[in-house]
Amino acid sequence: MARWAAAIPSWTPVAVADAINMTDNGHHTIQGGSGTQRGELREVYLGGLAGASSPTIMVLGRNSTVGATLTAGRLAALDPSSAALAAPPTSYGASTTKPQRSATLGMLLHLGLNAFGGIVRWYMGPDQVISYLGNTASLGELSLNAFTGGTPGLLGSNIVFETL
Amino acid sequence: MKRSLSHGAGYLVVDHRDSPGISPADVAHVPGAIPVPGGELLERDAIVCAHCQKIVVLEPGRVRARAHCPKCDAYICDACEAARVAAGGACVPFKAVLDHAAEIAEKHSGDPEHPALTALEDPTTLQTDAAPAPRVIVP
Repeated sequence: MARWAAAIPSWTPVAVADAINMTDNGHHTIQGGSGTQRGELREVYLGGLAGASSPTIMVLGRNSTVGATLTAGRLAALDPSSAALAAPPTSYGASTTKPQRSATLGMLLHLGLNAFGGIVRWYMGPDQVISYLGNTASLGELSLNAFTGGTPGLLGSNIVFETL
Repeated sequence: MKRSLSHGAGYLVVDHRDSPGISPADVAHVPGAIPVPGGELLERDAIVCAHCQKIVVLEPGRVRARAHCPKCDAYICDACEAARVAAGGACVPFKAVLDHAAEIAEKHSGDPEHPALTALEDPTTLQTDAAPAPRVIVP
């Protein structure tokens, strides 16, 4: 299937503990497009945009509470000939019901960076993927957000995913 | 053809060449976090734990044996290795857990309130269900 990019060009992570509501516009989350949709993350990129030193302890993980009534962000196909998805996953940073990072599955990958000039990029190998399934807890959402501690700073994020 | 266990690994890049970076003190409270001080570029192979999908950043200087599941022939994280040994070598790849979860999700897709769907909230339950039944060999 085609690969899609979900980018949020400028946002400031808000640090939250596990199983606590995330803050609107303080996280970047991908939610599956239907109850049975399966997909894989292929790449995660974070580029720091802060104007002063900001150690930002970012983590990628699963959510034990999924968001509802989402304010959907942009999705862009990496290939111009890709057909539109019937049920596209949703990239979002704001919702009425707030997502919560899972206490057990919430830390699949650490992506700590200093948002003052730092860049972090994780790129998957062919069989090295993080999957999502459906759009319910705990397999249906993957989020990028800040772990407690540090002083999160302005950054831009990009998640490349592929639906199966 | 897979040439080695780390063949086809992904990679992690943390570029702090033009940044104050992150000191060990900044991430001392985060288990598994990698400090990359200012002026440094970190590039590492990264593999996915075949049993839980956590990312394992390969430390080239590691001297201990890296955890490996001989049944699915893949690297696994240290936590899953401890669980594997404790369970007598049981291998439950995360792909099997996902297949099992997909089966449940598709079976009850018309009834979002079905109690069976609560199993999806806790993949450790699915892991137990997806485990192959123990084989008893009678000589």
